[in-house]
Amino acid sequence: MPSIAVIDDRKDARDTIKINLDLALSGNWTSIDIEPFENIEDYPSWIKENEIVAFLLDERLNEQSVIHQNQISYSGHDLVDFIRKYFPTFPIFIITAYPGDQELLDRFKDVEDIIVRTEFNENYRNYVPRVLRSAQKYLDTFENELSELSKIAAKIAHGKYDDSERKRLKAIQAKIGFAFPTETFIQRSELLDKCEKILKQLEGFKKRIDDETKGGSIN
Amino acid sequence: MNKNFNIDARVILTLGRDGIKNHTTALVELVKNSYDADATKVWIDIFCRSSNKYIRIVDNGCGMTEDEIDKYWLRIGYSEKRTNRFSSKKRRKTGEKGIGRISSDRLGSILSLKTKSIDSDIIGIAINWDDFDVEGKDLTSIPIKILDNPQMSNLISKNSNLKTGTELEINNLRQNWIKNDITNLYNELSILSPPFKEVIDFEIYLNNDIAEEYNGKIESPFFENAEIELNAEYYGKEINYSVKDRFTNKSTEQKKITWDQLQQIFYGSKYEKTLEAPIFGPISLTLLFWTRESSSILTENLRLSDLRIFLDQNAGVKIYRDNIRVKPYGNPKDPEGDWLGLAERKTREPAGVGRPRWVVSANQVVGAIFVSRDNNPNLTDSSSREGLIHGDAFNQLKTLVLGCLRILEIHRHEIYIKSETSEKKISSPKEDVKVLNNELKILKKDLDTLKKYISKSSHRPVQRTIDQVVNVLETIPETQKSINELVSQSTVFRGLATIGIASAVFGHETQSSISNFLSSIYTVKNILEKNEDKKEFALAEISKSIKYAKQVSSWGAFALARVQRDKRKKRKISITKILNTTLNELKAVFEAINIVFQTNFDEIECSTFAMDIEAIFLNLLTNAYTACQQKNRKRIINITLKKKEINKISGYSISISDTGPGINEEIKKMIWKPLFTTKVDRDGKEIGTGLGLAIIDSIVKDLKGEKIVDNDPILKGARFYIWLPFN
Repeated sequence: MPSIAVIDDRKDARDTIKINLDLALSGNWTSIDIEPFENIEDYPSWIKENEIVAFLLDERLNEQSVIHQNQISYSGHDLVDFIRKYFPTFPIFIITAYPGDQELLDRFKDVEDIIVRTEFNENYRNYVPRVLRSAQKYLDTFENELSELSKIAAKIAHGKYDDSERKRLKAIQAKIGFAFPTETFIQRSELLDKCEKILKQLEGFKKRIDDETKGGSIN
Repeated sequence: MNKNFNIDARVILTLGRDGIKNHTTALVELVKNSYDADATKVWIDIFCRSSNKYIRIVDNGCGMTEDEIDKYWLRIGYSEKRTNRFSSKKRRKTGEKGIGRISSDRLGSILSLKTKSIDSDIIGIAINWDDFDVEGKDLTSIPIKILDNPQMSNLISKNSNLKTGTELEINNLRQNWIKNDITNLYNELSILSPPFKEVIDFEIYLNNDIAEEYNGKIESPFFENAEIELNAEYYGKEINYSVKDRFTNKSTEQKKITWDQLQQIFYGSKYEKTLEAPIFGPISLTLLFWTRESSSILTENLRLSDLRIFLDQNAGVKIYRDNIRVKPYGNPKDPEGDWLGLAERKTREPAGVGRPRWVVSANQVVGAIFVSRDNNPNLTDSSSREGLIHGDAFNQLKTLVLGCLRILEIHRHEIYIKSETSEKKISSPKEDVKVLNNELKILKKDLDTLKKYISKSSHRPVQRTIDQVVNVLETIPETQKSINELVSQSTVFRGLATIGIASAVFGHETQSSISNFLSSIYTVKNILEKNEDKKEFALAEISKSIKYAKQVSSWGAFALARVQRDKRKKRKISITKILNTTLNELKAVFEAINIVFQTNFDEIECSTFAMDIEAIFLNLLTNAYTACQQKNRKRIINITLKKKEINKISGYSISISDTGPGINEEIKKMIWKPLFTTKVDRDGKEIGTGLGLAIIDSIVKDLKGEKIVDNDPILKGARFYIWLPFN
């Protein structure tokens, strides 16, 4: 089931957001709340494995999170920059306690919205549907592209593809950040074609030998 | 069938005569070739005022064989420098386009070249560039004349030990040289190689009949006479540096500064991604500073006007790669020359040298940065071939240079302050009035005595003076009262300012508490409205809201408690109690960002102003609070309160150390000055008030205490000691 993730290093604040989020969720939607991971590199696989489709993210992630006695080394904007490399269209909403912080606005030009924490918790009925719309849009795009990727991958596996499909495949992979060993398939398929050609040549050669042997000599 | 290009003879004119900006540049190109040929000396003759006008460039480089002339010199576009980047003397060759030699066409139409290498006799060729100025002729069809029995008398006369070298003589000059050209040439040649001593094996001598004052070895007399000289080296770990100034006339010992400490000096204490280690390779740099005032001139032979001309021509920090200048960096006349933004920086910080924020003007500094191409692969040429790509390595290089410049500026400021304070004895107004009172009393007594020994007729003026002294003496108690009031007001102002600073620093936590309080209340309302069975969530949110309401309330009480009237009066108080109470009131704020307190307090009572002690403690705490957040290690603040005797005076010390980045040696003295701050935002804008430590400094001075700052060997952050006497 697709999940909306709440990421905040302060448990109190995280729990409150999750309660309000859950009040508005229905159907297949679920929510999940986490402390920031020690390694920023762990997010992409976690997103894929847990079907995360949107973030409600705090900017100040390194105030309370302590991993191995050290504070974590990245902030919310570092995480946004990192996620954008893997999932360029992934919906991210920033939750802040500090309305009107110009520095914050400048830092987060590449997110869906910056929401004041108290406003979100007061008016969750307005904000949660907005989050869900973005998440649904992302999910639809993702599913469409996943389906297209599956079709092209099948073609490649059979060695029946053209250059435009190969390019399209790469574009989808880049967009959804989905690693898929298509290059290997392409190389294998090309190798098989070559093998097939050599085999045909060998068969022809064998036939000639047989014919000539029957005829008595090889020229 | 294939096709081939044919090359029109006029191409050579396009590349040479038309392609070179001006005749001084053309001549400099030819001198660069001498450098690449491993010459240690180059002699340039420019004669335009006699009937025989000519330019001659003679060097004692490696010369060329006939084969080399054919294969290399006469092959346009060929550059041996592309395949063989270093000369035999390990010089990094300067040009790579293979067209420098045809720049002689820009100077004159007739060129004769004579050269001798170690393996061959003298060879000579003569070229008339005008022969190429014809339409439709193929380049290869123009013959080059070989000189019969060429002689190199000029070269031999210049250098009797000559074994090899090259002599270029250019006649039929295309342009008449004037004094301004010679001045430009002199300046260009003086910056062709580093003006510093790193390149000692390349000398250029000029001889001309246009501006004879420039004749002789090309050098500048100023580089030895800087008021302050900073030398720094970076070899992959720390930056080693030393500063020498004319005022103390000795070099500081070699000091070390880490990359993050250097950034602290440059940016302030906020660490962003620039914290990463530099990606450039080994670098050394020299920065020289002059004030442009008459005090800058040390020797009798130099004039202030010469110094100003010199600075106008040479100011700027230049980059030398393999000892050859990378343009346009450091050229004050080039729009991109001020690559460090020194002029804009001065406009932003116009403060005088007496202020800790003082910065140099762009026309007061001459500097050189030495890099090698092979050890600095990340400092790459831009595609336009002029300048470097402004990527991460280049930006880090800027940080390094500006950090070193800050060290120089701090050094200059300290020299100034030292010279000022050695002239003025600092005393408090209270003490001044006391001294004045005593002196006036003595004066009155002396005048009374004097009256006994002089004639009555002279009594009147003496009596008048005595009356005046008495009048002044009568006003002194009033003055003392006013001063006491001012001191009391000052205590209150310091206390209020401290509250203001703390509010700004801890404001984030207060805002967070208010936000959490409201959020929890809204959430309880939402649960109840939705009528869902989530009683336990609602109860949890109510508990949270109570907790956060208490935090907000305690902060309000804290602020009010700081300005209570009784704290403004001097009375016997428990220092231990003040410290414990303050810590308890602020505990929640520090815990919110995982800061742990370690305390070790002696029981200490003392007659003093509670507000002053709180101001000291609170300012030190707010600094530690900010510092702890700048490092990703466990956050600890260690506080001690101990009885301590200094110079047989009993007193007590408060020490606070943290796990922040620590304080760099260079700014230890500056941090106490008003408006000096290391707190900046991510864009380098100052966000601190620069008042906290200045308030502490003022209190410590008033209470005749001592203050020390160093770095805590265990926690690695800054450690402040404040000692105050009991009386």
